[in-house]
Amino acid sequence: MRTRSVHSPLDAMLLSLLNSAPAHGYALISRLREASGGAFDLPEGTIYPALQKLEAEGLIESGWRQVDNRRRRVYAPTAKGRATLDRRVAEWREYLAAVDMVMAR
Amino acid sequence: MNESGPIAAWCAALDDALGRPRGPRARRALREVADHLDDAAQALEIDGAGRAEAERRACERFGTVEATARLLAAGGVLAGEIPIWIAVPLWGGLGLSVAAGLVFVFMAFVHAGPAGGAVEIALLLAVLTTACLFARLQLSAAAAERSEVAAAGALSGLMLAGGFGLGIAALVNGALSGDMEYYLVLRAALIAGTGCVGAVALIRARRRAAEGS
Repeated sequence: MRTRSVHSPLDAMLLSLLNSAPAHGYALISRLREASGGAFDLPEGTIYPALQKLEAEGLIESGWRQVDNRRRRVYAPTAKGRATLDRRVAEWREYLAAVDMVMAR
Repeated sequence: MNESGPIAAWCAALDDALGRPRGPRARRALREVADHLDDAAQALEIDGAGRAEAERRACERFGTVEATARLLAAGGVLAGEIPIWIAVPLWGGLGLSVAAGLVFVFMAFVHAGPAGGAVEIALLLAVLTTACLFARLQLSAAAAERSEVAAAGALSGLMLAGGFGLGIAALVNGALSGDMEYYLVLRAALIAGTGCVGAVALIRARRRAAEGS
């Protein structure tokens, strides 16, 4: 199991949210907050470096789009990003299962 | 955005904190941050906050200027605006080329040759001007993000450096003669040709960026 998926779940969560629908930064952090039931109410400034890192790794791509009559940088996963997401979801489930086994003892 | 409100002040502070030189990635980040803060403030206004209060809370939720600048810098927004493998051959080649040009011009005036004529001097100046303009284009931050421009930049740098090498070799061997004219024409053609390729690549890159690709 890769420790990366354990130490950096934000990347995987952002990939997952973008996989369900492309979004700009503000919409994405709002979705993250709502989807987690308010558990991930992060400082909003943390999202852009994470997005830039994902983009630099070729996992997402972005472009300027008109959203609600305003120009917004919209992000979407690449094919490599979707494949990476599948792998990280599997790794995360494996990690949770392992934690469950330990905690249930 | 209120031009004198908390968001404008926060963005100005972030702009200062990010420092310079400023490339397209940093400018893009600044614009995204400003848009984000504006969206957040609008949402808070809808929830009943006054504009100034909404802007203040939007900035607060985003994080401090220092932390944001640090995160953006760590995320690579400022890094690699001018890749070192482009900058070194370009600036190095350009500097050497300028030095070679000065040597040739000096010899033209003092020793009446090899670049003995006004035509050769004009040609040299044209070559150097082209090289300077092209290098400036290549070293623009927009160009730094495009591999085709980067490749053209590296090529031009090598040619400039190579041109200087040939010039020095000719100087050392005492071969600065009429043949130098052909060398200069060839050198000008190569640099101008590479400049055209680079300019086209740059225009294409900017068009793609404008189209949001």
